[in-house]
Amino acid sequence: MSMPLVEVQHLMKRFPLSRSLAAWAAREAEEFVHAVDDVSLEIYPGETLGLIGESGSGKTTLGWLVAKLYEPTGGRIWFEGRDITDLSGRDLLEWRRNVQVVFQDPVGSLDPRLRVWQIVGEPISAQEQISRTELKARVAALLPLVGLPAGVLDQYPHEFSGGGRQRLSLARALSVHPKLLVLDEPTSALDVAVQAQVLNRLVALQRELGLSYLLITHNVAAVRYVADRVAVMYLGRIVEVGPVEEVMERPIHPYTKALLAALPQPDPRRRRARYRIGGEVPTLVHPPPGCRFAPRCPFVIDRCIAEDPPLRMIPDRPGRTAACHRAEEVGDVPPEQLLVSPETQADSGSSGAG
Amino acid sequence: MATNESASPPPSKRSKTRATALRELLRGLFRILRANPLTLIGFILVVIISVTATLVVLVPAVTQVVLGHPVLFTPYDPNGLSTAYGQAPSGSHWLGTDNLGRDMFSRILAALPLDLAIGFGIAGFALLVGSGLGLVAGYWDNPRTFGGVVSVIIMRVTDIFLAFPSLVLALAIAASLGRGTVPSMLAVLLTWWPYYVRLTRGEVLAIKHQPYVVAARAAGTSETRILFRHVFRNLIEPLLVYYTLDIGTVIVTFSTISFVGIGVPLDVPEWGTMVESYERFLLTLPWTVLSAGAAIFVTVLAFSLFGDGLRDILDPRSRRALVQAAIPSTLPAKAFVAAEA
Amino acid sequence: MAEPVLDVQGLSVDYDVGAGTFHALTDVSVQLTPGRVVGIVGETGSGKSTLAHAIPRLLPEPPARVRSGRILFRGVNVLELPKWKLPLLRGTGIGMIFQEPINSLNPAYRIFDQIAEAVTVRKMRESGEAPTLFPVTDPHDYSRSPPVKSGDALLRAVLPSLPKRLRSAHRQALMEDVLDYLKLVRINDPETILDLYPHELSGGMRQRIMIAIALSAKPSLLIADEPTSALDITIQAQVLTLMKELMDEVRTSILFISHDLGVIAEMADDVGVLYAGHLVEFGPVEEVYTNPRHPYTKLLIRAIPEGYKRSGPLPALAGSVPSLANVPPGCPFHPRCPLAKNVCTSDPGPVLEPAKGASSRSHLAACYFSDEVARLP
Repeated sequence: MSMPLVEVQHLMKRFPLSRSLAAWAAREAEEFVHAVDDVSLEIYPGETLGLIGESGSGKTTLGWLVAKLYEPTGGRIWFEGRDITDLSGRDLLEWRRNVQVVFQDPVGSLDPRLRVWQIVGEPISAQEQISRTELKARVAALLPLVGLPAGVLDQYPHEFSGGGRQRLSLARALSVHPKLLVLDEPTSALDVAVQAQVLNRLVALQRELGLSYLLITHNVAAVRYVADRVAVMYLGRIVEVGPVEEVMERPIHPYTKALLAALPQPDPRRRRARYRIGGEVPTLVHPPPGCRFAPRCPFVIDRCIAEDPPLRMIPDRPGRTAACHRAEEVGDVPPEQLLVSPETQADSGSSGAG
Repeated sequence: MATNESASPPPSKRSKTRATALRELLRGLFRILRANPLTLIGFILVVIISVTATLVVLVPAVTQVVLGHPVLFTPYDPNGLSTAYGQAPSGSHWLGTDNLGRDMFSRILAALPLDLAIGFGIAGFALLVGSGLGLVAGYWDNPRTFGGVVSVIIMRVTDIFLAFPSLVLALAIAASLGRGTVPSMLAVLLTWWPYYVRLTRGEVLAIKHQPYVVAARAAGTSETRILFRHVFRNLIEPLLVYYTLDIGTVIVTFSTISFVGIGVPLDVPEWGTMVESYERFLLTLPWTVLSAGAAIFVTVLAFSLFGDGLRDILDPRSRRALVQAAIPSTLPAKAFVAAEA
Repeated sequence: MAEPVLDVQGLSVDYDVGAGTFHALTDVSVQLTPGRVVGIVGETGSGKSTLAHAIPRLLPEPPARVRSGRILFRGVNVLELPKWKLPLLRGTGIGMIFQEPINSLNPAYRIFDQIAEAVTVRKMRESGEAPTLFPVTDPHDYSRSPPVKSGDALLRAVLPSLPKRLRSAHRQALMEDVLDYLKLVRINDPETILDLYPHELSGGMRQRIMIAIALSAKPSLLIADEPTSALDITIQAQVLTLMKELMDEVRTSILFISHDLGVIAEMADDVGVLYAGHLVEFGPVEEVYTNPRHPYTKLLIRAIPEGYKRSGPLPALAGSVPSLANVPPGCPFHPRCPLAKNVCTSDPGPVLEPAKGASSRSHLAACYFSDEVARLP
């Protein structure tokens, strides 16, 4: 396989919890939220890597780390073979044209006091000295790429709908011809119909411009459609990686199964089904010695609580990696098994919480 | 690519130039003024007051230069004693005369530039100093850095000042500095800047964490440019609105100091001292104290009304905000922000 | 068929805002029979939130204006009730669950107090200490209790305000009930959370508390307005499962509102599709999903990404949802509809009537060409 565009190894990011003055005086150990904890993965040129997970999984933090909007607490990042972990200052600003971000909030990510040409052209004007007319011309050329008429240059963001604003974000990100686009929940704030348009456009643009995408979302249907490969995150770790069809149809890791089983389907036969995975998604302040999913896992055994499973290749499943001790045994269990219909109430316990 | 997609604004809107942008701002102004009669009243009053104040100052100065002797803008000499003591308002003396025969209307007008200058000046100075400090305190707020330590110091000093009721503090400082225009202005200024620090810091903190600032950073914009381009621009509106509303408050505070007897010297026309000196004539020559009080009231009201509407004028989104706030919706009111068909 | 718990007839609601008039709902009619779940599905700007708020008359009346229609709750026209009787309608009559529990739970009060308040109100109404619109019966079979006509002599002064922080004697008396309801919503070790504040709990827990509060009042009708949209996927599945189990146990009728077709499919017996304030389709959920009879429903279902990108572009819906201030005349969907013909553009538009070619008479669609929808690719 070709050289990866982006490669991260053992990437870590933790955020300090604020503590009281008394605690500081008593020299208590500082506590951290381990948002991203030992993540290694690659993104190849021209592919879409989907990153799925729920809140607290660290997927947004990982995306921002790749875009160097955060400084990692540990680990290294390579871009096109070059170590960029310690990039700063002028070099960092220049490197930024390679990776751009489309943010989740279409309202907040556009400065309400600037006009379209200023917003979309900002990356360009940050990278080079350019006259106003030239900038406007460049932005005008970009707008058709995202399906906006060129006449909107002087308008304000609030004059656009959510879908329109998302396109502006996309145009801004594309303005410097990046190699990688980090898309942070690009569809969450949009309606179904508009989502479909945005997804179509993303796919078409990728083909046209040869972009790579890191698609971060909890919208599994969107990832299934757009991604080539998919990585599943839980509590700061990657628990499974593989080609999208493989992961969606034959998930190995119990959490992936739990996630897929939880998706509401427009299939009225599911009406009778009861979801059996209990527990909440905590924030990771004190990493447990064993697997992080163990408290909620229906397949848990003693080894899971004592020993943290590494992300490893699974025999007989080429191209798939998963972090589960029991991957070989439970890998084939379909997600539907995690749903129970009330007739088969043989199992104990309900979907308890807390 | 699919055709006929949700391209939001209708194609009839043309690209605009700079001049049309100004026209657009004015159009926004007129729309707000038309929609909100109170703001219109405030605006008109502010204009009248400002123009009058300018004329009161300029006309004598210009005529001095041009004609060799000053021509007063006011109908009578504000300090001119006459024998027409204690006359009620009439055709020749619109607001009557005081106990020394001075025309009240002229006195009120003569005091207008000073009080207005005090309002604009003190509030303006407080704005500059306070917002400067607030900007520092808001932008460098990580306590683990040097800038953060400075910010903490700024905020704690501000807290100390804020702990005192502003009027009491102003009086205390003015009393210790003695009577006089400049000392009393200084007194008010010293009590005024902390409010701007807190306001600015709050706004800066809010702006700093907005996604569009992060997006600018991701775009490669340098921190300095982010400060000027994004932070400043979004800071101006709330500060300007607060400033406009504040002008009235400063005038009242300053007048109160003068009323108490600490402010400007007695021979300088100022509404506060006027109220103080005419207070004993409340029952005998009511028009004296009432016109001075009314002058303060009208000026403060004008700026308050206008300042209220200023927010709507400056913010291009205000109209949408009014619509959105009224209607319950589960997701942010995207439907109501959709392009105008 | 038993008398419907809820009978909305021809409801039209407008908002008068400075910028114009928004026609949030136009001629919407929907019925709920006891024990059934009706789902309302619609995108943003469809008016579904307005419908949810209109039924218990929670709309802010100055900007909102009910142009026409009746809302009959157990025979009583909600719209004609005097303002002071409205609190009596809510809680024990109509309960509501909202989307963001952090917003709808009072952040200043502990969990125990919030549930206890609801239980107290219900008990006072049951014992006659406080007036109520309808007598509350136990067990929860509301289809059999006779409705009370408004204006009845029983209805007296407004419910006296309760002290928020209940004294300890009251606490003990209510403790058992509160714990019962927390267990009802499957919270293990409920004693541990009684003294917590809402912000100290996770989103899923907060939503369970909301459900507990709503159910502790034993309402005949529960309106759930996007109850799971703010939750994570696995938590959403837990809460939906909880609601399904409660539906079996409690037998409250539920009006479930969501933008998520999958959620509605799992929860509802019947589904209504809202577009730009108009109800364009209604029917049993299986039928509407497998055999939609309105072009919008069909295109909406199709636009959900299902496969992989190698199978080609997603069939996207052209255009965008119209602003409620500018709803197109005639059928509101006609500018985006592949089947639109001239007749679709003139007022009055198509009415909700049994769809042609549908397998049951209860499958309604507001389209002149409902039989051609099946032929759309």
